[in-house]
Amino acid sequence: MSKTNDSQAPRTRKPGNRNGLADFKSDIHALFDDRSMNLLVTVFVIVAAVLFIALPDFRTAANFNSMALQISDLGIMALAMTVSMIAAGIDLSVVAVANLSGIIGIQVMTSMGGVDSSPTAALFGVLVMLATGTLLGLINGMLVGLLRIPPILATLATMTLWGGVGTAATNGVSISGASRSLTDLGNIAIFSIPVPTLVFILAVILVWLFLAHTSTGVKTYLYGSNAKASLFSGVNNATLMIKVYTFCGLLSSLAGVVILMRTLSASPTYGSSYVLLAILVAVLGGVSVTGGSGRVTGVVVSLITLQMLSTGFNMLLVGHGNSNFFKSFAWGLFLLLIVWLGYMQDHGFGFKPHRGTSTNTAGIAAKKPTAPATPTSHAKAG
Amino acid sequence: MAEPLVSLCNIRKEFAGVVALDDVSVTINKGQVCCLAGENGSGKSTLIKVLSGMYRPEHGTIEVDGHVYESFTPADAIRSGFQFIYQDFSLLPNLSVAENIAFGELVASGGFLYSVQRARTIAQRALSRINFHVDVDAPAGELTLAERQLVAIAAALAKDARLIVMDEATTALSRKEVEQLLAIIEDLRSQGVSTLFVSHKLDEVVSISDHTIVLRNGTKVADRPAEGMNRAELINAMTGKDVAMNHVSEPISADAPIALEVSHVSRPHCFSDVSFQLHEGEILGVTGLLGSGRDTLALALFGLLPITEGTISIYGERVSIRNPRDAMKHGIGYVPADRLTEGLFLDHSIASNVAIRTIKQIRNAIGLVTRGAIVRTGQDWVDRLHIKTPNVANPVSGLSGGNQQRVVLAKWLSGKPRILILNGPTVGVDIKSKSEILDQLREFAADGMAVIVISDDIPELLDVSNRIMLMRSGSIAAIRERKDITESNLNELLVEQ
Repeated sequence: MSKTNDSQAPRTRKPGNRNGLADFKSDIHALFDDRSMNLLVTVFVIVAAVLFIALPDFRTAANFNSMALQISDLGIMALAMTVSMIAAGIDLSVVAVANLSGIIGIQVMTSMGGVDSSPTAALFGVLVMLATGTLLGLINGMLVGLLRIPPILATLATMTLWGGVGTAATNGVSISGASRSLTDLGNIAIFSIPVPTLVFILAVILVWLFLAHTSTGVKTYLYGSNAKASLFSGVNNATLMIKVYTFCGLLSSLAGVVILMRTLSASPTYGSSYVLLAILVAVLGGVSVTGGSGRVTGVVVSLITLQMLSTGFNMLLVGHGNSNFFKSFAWGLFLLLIVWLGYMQDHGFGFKPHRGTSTNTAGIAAKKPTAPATPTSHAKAG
Repeated sequence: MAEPLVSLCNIRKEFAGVVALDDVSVTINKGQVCCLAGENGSGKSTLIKVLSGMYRPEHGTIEVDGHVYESFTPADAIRSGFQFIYQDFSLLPNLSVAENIAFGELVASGGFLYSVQRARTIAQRALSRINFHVDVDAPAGELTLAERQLVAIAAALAKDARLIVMDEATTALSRKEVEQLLAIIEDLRSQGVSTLFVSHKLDEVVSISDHTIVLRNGTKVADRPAEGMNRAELINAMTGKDVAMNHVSEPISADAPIALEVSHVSRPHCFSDVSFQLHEGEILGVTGLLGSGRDTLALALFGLLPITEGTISIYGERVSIRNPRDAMKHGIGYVPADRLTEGLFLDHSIASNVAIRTIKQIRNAIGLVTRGAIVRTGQDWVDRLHIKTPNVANPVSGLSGGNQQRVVLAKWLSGKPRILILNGPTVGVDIKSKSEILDQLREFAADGMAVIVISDDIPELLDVSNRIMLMRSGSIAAIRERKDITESNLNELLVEQ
């Protein structure tokens, strides 16, 4: 049934003929032409409104500051996860790379004077951390691109490996000694935005530019949707994977810098639950688990929504001691809700079977049929 | 004798206001081989899905063995003995042949334990009905396409099929394999099994059927015994107009520059000692059975299966093609055989599908790619190749086969290739789009592009080529000017051993 397009008169939409502003406008429009995005934004608004009204503590500047700080490291890792998932892969080593680059960064700064070392030493330490992340990402990229190891296995192996290296280097304990010039930044706000949050915003912009506006980013989406067609289109798939995972590694080490700023220390076991949380954030943000689609805006909205839920539950349950359990509970339920709503949006509400059939219940896991085209584009980026 | 098995009466089916089937009535008799022909989008697939119970028509009834169904479910279809074989053959690649065939019966019998022995027995019984010998313990995924096709038929028979529906079942098969399949259908007819055969390939439609049904734009335009219906009449019925496919291209002048010269190239297990020249502006048709080396030769020229011996020269310059980037650098483009898995990014927009080739060239002053630039590239090619779509931002999956194929073409043309290799450029494309695509190929050639068309479709090759090259067991069996060859010559050459 692919006739729908043929039978319509070709109402050709003339694209704007100017570059620059017109293109920018169409990019902004593209942000809102997607139904899964609308669903997420709706849920975001509802959650925000309820918390605003119900909890006086929630609508304070101090709380916003604290939330903004808390999303920064997980947020950057979720962005790295997003990039790898759009390329139909996954990067399980995000946390391990962040931790190992933190450990190496602290050792470099310690050797240059420790806590009291100069701003230059701090800057050098940060550069070493980013270089470490880039190198570790490059290794992932070569395992995936050149040796063709499936990403889930390659990054599972490197995750374990870097965890082991970190443990050996620190005897498994948390180490400190980062330059004060760096860690002080964790408490400073510029234009009332905490510096770690600014780093996160920088990462958002970087990833958005990469995915939506570089040729490598466009190829990443297409590769994620069909790696074979990408090969037959003359894309160098191996180089593409190297670029993608190297970028993920760089982002992970940026998360490592933020962790240093916030916790003043590095540890091989810090944030071990963040890997799965990063996947949760990405999936909630509309990143396809099979690759080829997903955008930065969705991931940011999903991240903020989850943080609001978590903060809200903490406030509600102050003194009950069990808020962590409730946080996981709420997040899990929230994921199910979003996935269910998304499914219902595509297939109609209620429990009636698919249109025109009376026994087909097996379509849940199946991809949507390729026939009649939805009016929205699935191919947008960003 | 002519006892009806199933009758679809006055079926009407709409999708979001678009009428896919309008008052279509079809009867299939017991033991009858029926052909359902029609262009893409004529309603063939919809009709089949109504017959399988997947779609419930807005209007009309289905009558099986005298029982009238108001709502016909997939379970009803299976109980009635309707079995469907689609292009992808619906086999489970990791299970053995025996398991694939016996699957239905073992599930239906509800036994708790699985018996390998029983699966084998069921499989052997079904395979013997079509006289096909294959290792029943081999995983289905390791078989050739043709073998898988036969296993799928055996699986249908094991489920006591009374009607086997084959949807474009011959698309992936070579000519010889098609002939084998047709013989089996003949045989099944004598066993009282009906077949509904859905095909684009007109030769098959003409040769096999007792009865021919033609759909056009959702209505039935022909329904009559196949005897006495010739090819031209069929085309007429399908398209509503005469499409001439009898173009004879003149040989290219010997003075034209040689765009591609392949000399003594080999690759173990693929092809050996192949030499030919391709002139600027020439269309070289290449055919041969599956495994004759024609596909691997194309992949070699595109750098996916690099040659191990011999030389390739482009416009006199000797080149080394180790990967697709080398090929593209030297101006070679390749339109792959399987549009859906190799050619397209189905969920992505028409514009992105076209723009991937030139994505680096459409970056703006600061090196960034904008959505507007992608849309403009897409729109440009949609206009040039007359791709029918309201919006280039729509996913390419929503286009008809012919328009999808033009998207793949556009992707390659945007890179301005000097040499374009097309593998099966009109597979699964309706007659009208097909003749348009062939016209476009002739235009490109006239503009100086050198073109290689690989195809199983002999009339198509004859229509478009200046010269035709026949491959057999990895070598060139013959190269002839178009004007020196006829359809029957070529068919004889093809099956000669």
